[in-house]
Amino acid sequence: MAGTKSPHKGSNALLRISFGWVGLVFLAVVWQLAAIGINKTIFPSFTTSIIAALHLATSSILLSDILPSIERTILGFFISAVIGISAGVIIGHYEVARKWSGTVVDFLRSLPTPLLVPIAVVIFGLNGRMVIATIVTAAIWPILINTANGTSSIESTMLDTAKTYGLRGRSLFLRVVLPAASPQIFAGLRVALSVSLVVMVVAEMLGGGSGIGYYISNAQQSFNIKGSYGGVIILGAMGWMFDTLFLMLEGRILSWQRGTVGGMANA
Amino acid sequence: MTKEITTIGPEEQRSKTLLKPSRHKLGLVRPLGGVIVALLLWEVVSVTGIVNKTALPTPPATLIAIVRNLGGLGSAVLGTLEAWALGIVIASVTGIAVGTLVGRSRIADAATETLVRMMRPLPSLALIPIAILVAGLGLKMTSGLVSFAAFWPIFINTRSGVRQVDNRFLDSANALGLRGFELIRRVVIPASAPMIASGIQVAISLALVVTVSVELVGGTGGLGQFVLLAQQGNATSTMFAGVIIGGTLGWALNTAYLAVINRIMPWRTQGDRN
Amino acid sequence: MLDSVLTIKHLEVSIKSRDGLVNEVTRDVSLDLGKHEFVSVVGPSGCGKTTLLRTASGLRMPSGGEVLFEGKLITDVPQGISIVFQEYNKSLFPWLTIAKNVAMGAREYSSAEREKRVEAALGQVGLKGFATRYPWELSGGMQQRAALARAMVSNPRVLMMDEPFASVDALTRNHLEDVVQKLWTDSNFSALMVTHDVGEAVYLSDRVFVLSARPSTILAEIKVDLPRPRSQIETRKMLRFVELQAEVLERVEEAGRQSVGIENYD
Repeated sequence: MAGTKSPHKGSNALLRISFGWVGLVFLAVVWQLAAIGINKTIFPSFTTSIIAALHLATSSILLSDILPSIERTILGFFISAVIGISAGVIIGHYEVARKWSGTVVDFLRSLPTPLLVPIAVVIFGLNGRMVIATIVTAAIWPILINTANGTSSIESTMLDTAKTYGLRGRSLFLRVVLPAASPQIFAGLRVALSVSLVVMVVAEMLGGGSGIGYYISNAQQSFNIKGSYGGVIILGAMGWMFDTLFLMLEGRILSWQRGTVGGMANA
Repeated sequence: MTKEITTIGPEEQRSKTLLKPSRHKLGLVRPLGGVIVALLLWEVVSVTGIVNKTALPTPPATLIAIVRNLGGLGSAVLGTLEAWALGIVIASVTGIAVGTLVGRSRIADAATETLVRMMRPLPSLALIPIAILVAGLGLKMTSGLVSFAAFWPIFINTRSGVRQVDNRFLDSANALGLRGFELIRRVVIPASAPMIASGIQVAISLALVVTVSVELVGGTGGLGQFVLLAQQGNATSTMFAGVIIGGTLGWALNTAYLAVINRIMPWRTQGDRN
Repeated sequence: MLDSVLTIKHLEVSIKSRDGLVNEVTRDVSLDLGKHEFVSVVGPSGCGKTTLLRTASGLRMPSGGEVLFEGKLITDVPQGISIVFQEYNKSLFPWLTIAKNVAMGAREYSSAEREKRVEAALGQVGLKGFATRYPWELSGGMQQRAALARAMVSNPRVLMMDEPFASVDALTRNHLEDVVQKLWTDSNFSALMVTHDVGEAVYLSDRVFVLSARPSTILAEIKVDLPRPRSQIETRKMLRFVELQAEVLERVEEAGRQSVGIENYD
């Protein structure tokens, strides 16, 4: 592990990474210019919105709304990951389980989750637990399905090999099935992470009692325009942060995979 | 090869269904059995009151509510479908067009990296309040938001599909004298079609989520408003009726789309075997 | 006859396919493997060689007949049998380094003992400096040598090989054959190899069994009375080698279908 250097590290990397931001800067400039021509009360400029966002992030909103949202997202995502991976491994490994659960899973994951928010409100009330429960009902599916597909498509030679070396039951799952399916599991986790964020926002808007989604929709209803734009920017930053942290973690855990997949179609 | 610059993977949902279509009569028994088991479980949970009884009506009560509200549900479904369809069409056209242009140019590709990374997980739903401010309530606003949300998976998948078109295809197309738009239309897009199709598949579910959310938050009709009104009227079985119909709608859209795609592109699932 | 380590008696294997059809792969195959003997099974492609090996090793249960390992009925892969598969890229775990892959074969030892054994096994196959590499960093031939090291690390009594050299180029294949030959000469295990490569079977084996097309039975058993140690150049130009190879080939052709791999020897 130590001896292998990533082939594309070097002075070029920094340039490439910074170049990656060009599109974002471009969008900001367009926004700024457009704001000049449009009614400022409903469309504040980019700089105004960024300042509003910074203001939010350093005010009491940080503790009352931003951090709770982060906490709910992470918790919901984590619960989904635990349930999704365990159920997915079982469904993927045993064809019987796949056949029995197929239709039910297909139906449940087709359910547009926001419709569940009113039900969750009736069951849990207007609070963070409701938000977490709603996140789980949505984020679990990409994880479960990717895990099941990853598990069921493990090469039979690989399973044979594991069996010849005496791996059975739990150690077979932990040492062969999970690692072999991990690239697909991680792809599912990444989708689930953005799903968690999406659902967190809508659940909070509809009855979170607090949180960034709650803040944004309140700001809109009380005509705090700058506040709602600032909130959206904070959400964007949150999404970017989650995604970046996730990719770092994935890169670390799947480092063995670097040379095995050239194209990404089979990732 | 080009992977070093880009960390954005395509939406990983190539094979979204658990069950491969089965040509067997016996193949239906177990899936249906699973449904029955799930319904029984639901019945048991709601009758025993493990979950708050008022919050969870029994399956028969839900069925009755569906039958009673057939008219209301029908027009709600139509309302949702209209906004959904408009959004999907706009998103597909723009997503494929922009994705192709960006995917063909290495510079544009690299330049949009962070933008895409930030927009992809940005919950477009957060824009609902802003969209209400800017565009007001209505079909235009709903479809605008839906197409914004659905644009990203289509764009991202088109972009990486186009980027991965095998050089040998491009070489032979060049040798045949295909250039410019002709090259894109006849080689690049067909070669990346499976990826684009997966992007649209993701977009279809996402668009439904956004449509329903806008209806819930903005009260702009459709299934979202139907469920919201039922909740406000404390009619939990009606609320469940809306949810079940919503699930059925999502399931039907996805299944229909897959059936069409598998017919147009029978080779699409080939990659799944490895 | 030497006392036998592995005995296959009237083996019968049928596979039920997804659409419910029963496919008879093997019908009545009997063979035995003596102590420190090298036996190969050849046959036209698709004749069920791999299924035979999987059943012989305990990975699959027979539909009829039985497999005895050291006198005991096999119901699962027993300790003492190691397998090398054709597809090294699917049998080496890509998430483990070469050393850790090899260590998989020595899980029953203490960690100090395991380390020693892994080092020795890597040395035996000439992969000393590659312990910390990942499989994808190695060439195909080296990966298959790593798979061999993993199979050897537990000192098996029987080494089974399923087309072990079919996925590498011809020169590497010759080299790998000699690696296997040397391992076999230096240790005390018995080897059972299935292959479609007639020359390879004759070159390495004491006896060669020819399998018929599906549902397979044993068509012929040919004793290879070539002197050991064998060498790629010297042995292969012996008249006896050429005769034996022709004899096996004739029986394989007889097996009905045109087999793959013969084009290497025209």
